[in-house]
Amino acid sequence: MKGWKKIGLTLMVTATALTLTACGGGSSNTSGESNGKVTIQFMHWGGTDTYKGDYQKRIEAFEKANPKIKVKTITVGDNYDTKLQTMIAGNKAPDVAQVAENGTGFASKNAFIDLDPYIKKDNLDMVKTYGNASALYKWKGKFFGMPDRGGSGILIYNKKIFDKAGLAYPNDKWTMEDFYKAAKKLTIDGTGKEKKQYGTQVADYVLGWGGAMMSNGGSVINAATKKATINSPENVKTFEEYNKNFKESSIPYQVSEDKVNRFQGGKVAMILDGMWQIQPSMKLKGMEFDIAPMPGKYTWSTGSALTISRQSDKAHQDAAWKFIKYMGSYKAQQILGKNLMDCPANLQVLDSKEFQNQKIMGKTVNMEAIAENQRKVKIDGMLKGPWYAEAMTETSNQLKEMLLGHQTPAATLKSLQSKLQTIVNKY
Amino acid sequence: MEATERKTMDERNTSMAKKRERMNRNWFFFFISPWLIGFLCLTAGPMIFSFFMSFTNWDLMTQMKFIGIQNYVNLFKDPIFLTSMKNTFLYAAISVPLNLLLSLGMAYLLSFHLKGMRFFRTLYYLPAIVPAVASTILFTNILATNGLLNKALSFIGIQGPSWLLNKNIVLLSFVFLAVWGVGATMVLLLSSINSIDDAMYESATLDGATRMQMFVHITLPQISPVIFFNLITGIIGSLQTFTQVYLMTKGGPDNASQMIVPYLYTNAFSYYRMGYASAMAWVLFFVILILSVIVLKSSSAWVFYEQEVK
Repeated sequence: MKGWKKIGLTLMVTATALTLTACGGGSSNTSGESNGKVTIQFMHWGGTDTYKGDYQKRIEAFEKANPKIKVKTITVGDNYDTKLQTMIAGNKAPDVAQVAENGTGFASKNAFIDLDPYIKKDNLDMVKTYGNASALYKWKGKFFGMPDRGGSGILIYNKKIFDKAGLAYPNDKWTMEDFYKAAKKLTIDGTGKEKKQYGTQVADYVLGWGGAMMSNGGSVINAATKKATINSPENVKTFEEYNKNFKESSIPYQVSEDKVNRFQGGKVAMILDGMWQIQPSMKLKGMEFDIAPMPGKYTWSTGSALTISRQSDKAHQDAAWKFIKYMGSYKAQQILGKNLMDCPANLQVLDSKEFQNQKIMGKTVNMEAIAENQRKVKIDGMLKGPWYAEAMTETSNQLKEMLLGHQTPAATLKSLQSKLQTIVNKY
Repeated sequence: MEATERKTMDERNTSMAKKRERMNRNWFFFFISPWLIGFLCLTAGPMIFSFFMSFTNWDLMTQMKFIGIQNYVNLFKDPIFLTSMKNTFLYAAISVPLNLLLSLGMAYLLSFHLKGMRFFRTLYYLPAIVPAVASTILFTNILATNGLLNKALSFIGIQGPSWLLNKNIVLLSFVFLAVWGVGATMVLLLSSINSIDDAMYESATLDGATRMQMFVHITLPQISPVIFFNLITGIIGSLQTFTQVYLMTKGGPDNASQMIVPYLYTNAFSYYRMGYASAMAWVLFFVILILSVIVLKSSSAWVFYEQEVK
């Protein structure tokens, strides 16, 4: 009996020790070298294409300009937030991490340093350089992220379809009403369930409805008062129109379920999407398209920024600041602009002739639209709090039910109002 | 003289036996240690930690705070959790018996010694070896409004619904998927049916038993341990459904296909609520435990083991 106890005890102790040490692990994040060189870790999401298109050349230029800093990139293909979260929990957070709408969630958990002292020291004018989109990367009034990829939506339209119908192309004066009207005119009924041609393709995705809502004076959440504001008379009107347009001129869920890209197939007149759609569309034979700013006064943004970890030591934080400042600079953002994977966040780049007059596979598109659109970005309170992920999931759920015809816009907003308030109250 | 000698012999024997026993014990622990260490380190450790976590508001990144049973109280006030409980149970209640019945029927049919049976056995087992991710993506296309299933239905004049977009029927889609993978259960039942001694059927035939009687009185009791095993694993597996929901509908539309484990995952990794997610895991654990105990207790009434004498 004694022997059993001994063995059992030894095993228990060993296993417990293993659980606590080997399984847990944990060492701090210091990769500073003795010769004054600093290696910083930079983590972003996407694949090799994202790395090559958005970052590689800029990082190379940075390292050339700063020979004492080396950048080690981690590209995360899937579950980015989980990975970052786990790294923070394990005290192994990357020095620089890309964030988007998820940023506030991390910032509210104190994951990133406050950039204001650096911004002040280097005399950067964030709003002038990056516009209102920069407000997305603020927590409690302080910047936690350097705007990097602008990500504002654009209206991409098929010129052939407009020509055939004899309609004028979309322009920067367009309101949502103009957009809906054109979409209706450009929708052609088919024989079966699927229409021959659709005016547009919008759904519960926020790039579609966000701008329409804000342009009509509506909002989802007021971050300052922590109140859900979605059930307003303005929003009821907005979503009734949006819903009507969806039924009349947009691809229904039942059809889009097959994930076929009907815009590229020449069956959709206009889409509200991002700059990343330009290049793939350019590659299509017979596709003639151009871009315009999103209709309406304001537009939603899906940009991303670069942050600095609170877990890094001072030397790494300083090096990281140099890095993210460089990435957002005019010079680096011009490089980003030429790859056309995503829109640069720097407004001066968007306004420059170098960016606007560039040829894409030998052709030009109305690149001015991108600058105009980036200036229209407005950040709703939904994006200004850690509630974003939960609030957006619920909002998309309910809007989808509305667009599927299972509930009226008024009922949707009414139920969303209480649901969103419950969510905001949790934080 | 003789007596003392025998005594020492006996003593030696018992001490040898003791020694051997000790050796055996050591070897037992030696061989079981990889599992034991793995279990303690990778299962028991995290389990204990998660139990502790379920009483905190930990978000992985900031200091955890003890909040008592608040997470458990909140759970039963969370409409999405209650919906996902309801969905999970409903799914299990339909898919587990259906799966068992179908696999039993199929295993029985495939146990006949007919020409070309090997081909059919392979055919029906094939879906079971397709990884869940692949089969789920496949079913997303099959069940789409313009997907294969509805196209097939339209040939016989039925207009199929939007399986994945309709709140009322979306759970059925997951039942289809479960039934499609019935081969995994079937193959176990089939091998069990095949191992039944032919002599039993022979003597039953001599006694004039019908096929039905033989199935009910010989086949079923003989394979009841395997049915029992599949029932238990089926209940546990269906209550822990994750991949299918996560890939096919993300719980939609409007949480109509939300289940406990995907909702738990979302809370832990999208909303940073480790404590809350842990509480959910423990509720699920106890539900599974209770159900398993009920099935286990009931098993003495219907599961027949060969060594038992009834």
